[in-house]
Amino acid sequence: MSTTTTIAAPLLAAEDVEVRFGGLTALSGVSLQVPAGASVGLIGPNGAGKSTLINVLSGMAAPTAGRVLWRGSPPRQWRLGAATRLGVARTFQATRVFREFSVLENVRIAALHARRSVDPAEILDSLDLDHRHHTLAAELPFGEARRLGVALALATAPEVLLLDEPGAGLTGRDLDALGAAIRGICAGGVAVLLVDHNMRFVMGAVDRVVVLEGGRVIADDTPAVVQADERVRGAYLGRRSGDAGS
Amino acid sequence: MVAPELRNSTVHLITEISIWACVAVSLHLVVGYAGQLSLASGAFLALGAYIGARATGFWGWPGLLTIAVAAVVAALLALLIALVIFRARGLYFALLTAGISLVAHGVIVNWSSVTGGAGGMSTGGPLADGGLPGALTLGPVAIESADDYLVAAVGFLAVLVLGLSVLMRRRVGESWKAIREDDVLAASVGVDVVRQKQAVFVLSSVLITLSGVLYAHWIGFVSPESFTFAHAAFEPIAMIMIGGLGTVAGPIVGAAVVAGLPEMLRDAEHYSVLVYGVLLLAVVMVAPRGIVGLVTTGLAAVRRRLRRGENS
Repeated sequence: MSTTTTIAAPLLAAEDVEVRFGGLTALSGVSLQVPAGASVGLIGPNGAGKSTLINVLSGMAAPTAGRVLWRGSPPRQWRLGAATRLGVARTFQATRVFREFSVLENVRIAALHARRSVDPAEILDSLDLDHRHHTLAAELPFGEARRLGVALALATAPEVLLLDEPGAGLTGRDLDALGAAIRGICAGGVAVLLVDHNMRFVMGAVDRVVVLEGGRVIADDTPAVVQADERVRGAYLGRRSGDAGS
Repeated sequence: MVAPELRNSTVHLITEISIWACVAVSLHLVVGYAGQLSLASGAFLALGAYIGARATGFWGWPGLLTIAVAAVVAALLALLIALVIFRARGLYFALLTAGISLVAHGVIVNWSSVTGGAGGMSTGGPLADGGLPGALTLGPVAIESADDYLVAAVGFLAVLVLGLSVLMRRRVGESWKAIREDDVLAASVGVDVVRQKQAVFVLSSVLITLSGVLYAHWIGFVSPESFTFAHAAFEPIAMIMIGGLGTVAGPIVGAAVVAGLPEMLRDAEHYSVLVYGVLLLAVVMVAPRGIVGLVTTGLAAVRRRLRRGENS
């Protein structure tokens, strides 16, 4: 089946993106598409360029070559903030919340520049934080602080949500709660790009997976196909496939 | 009853502290919310003072027109500076703004046809004419006597504090608080961080300029020595640091300490710089949240101890 003859342009896309830091090439010729309403996973070993790609897609970093496309055309300016106001929100790898504000105030602040009016209470409810409205963000347990990070991004009423390792450091119930929340977000029609180390977590949450290794895309397919891919298994799981074992 | 002389000096002291508190509260916007160490206050204070002295002393403008013109000129100038300056961060920002205050001082000294040069300029017109300082007229009200200026200075400070606390509860103020907390996170939820920082700088500069207009009329005479870097750019920062960053009361308490010290140490005026230098050092090392921070932490500790006493 051809993937190039799409009827409508994908909502958000990276086209031949290259990012170099001095002599180091973090991304090279990376193309990735996030169609409206899709849920895409982005996996790869440490240093594969996942965060760099999220930074480029969210406008936090400018590619040294290639471009970001929004609704099929390059935006006039693609910076963090401007991208959010167009409809691309992101979370951060490290827990990042407005620590000196209550949980509810956090979401209200995040909703100040939302593209349409949102109900902060409803968002907190969807992330199982409804009992925490008046807790100071700095005092939240780790798992809930991570979910508040997702709530902040959601409060901007995005069309695409870039989740940068939201499950990092989470276990058990917290990870389950996050997984449920992400599936809920997708079901609500928001396109999601989910970066995570936990392969099982990603595979269970998305309907397409892109695999990065050494700054290049080595696979882009359904979770089942990607999981069976020898190169992916070799790169991601640290196992060398067959003859490449030496 | 208070002896007239003592009363006069008290009126003078409170007026002086109030005007400096206006400067510190206005400057605190940039330092506290945009998170940038601005040393540009000297330039805008001088701008307001010289526009004020010229307009009242030489052009005979009504005070309201002077205030409006000073505000507009300051806003345009600050906007121009803000467009360039927020590309710089940290130390570079501090250096650039310091440069602005130094250049302003140089302009005052050298552009003598307009500023009176090193000799200064009076709100009462040309010095040779020996005119009395001109009043600051706000519509039907003329601010003229020492008591008038006391009311004006305290009133302006009150309006500033009230106005800013209202503003901080509005959308724009909430955005500024978000930037203060974490500017990357603020940007990620759609706040236009650069533009908001520019807006903060412009507002702060306009308010400092207006403080300058008031200052010039109160003193009745402006000269370069009032706008040296140490006095007009460094001291307001010292006020904020000593009083405490991040609170409304901080800059006001700091202004009381820094502007009040020279008056209290009048016999040893040269030592006052030394005293507040030591004070600044002590605050930075012992109480990084300033006097107000020290007091609130202390009060909280006392309250905890009292509660523990009740419980046992």
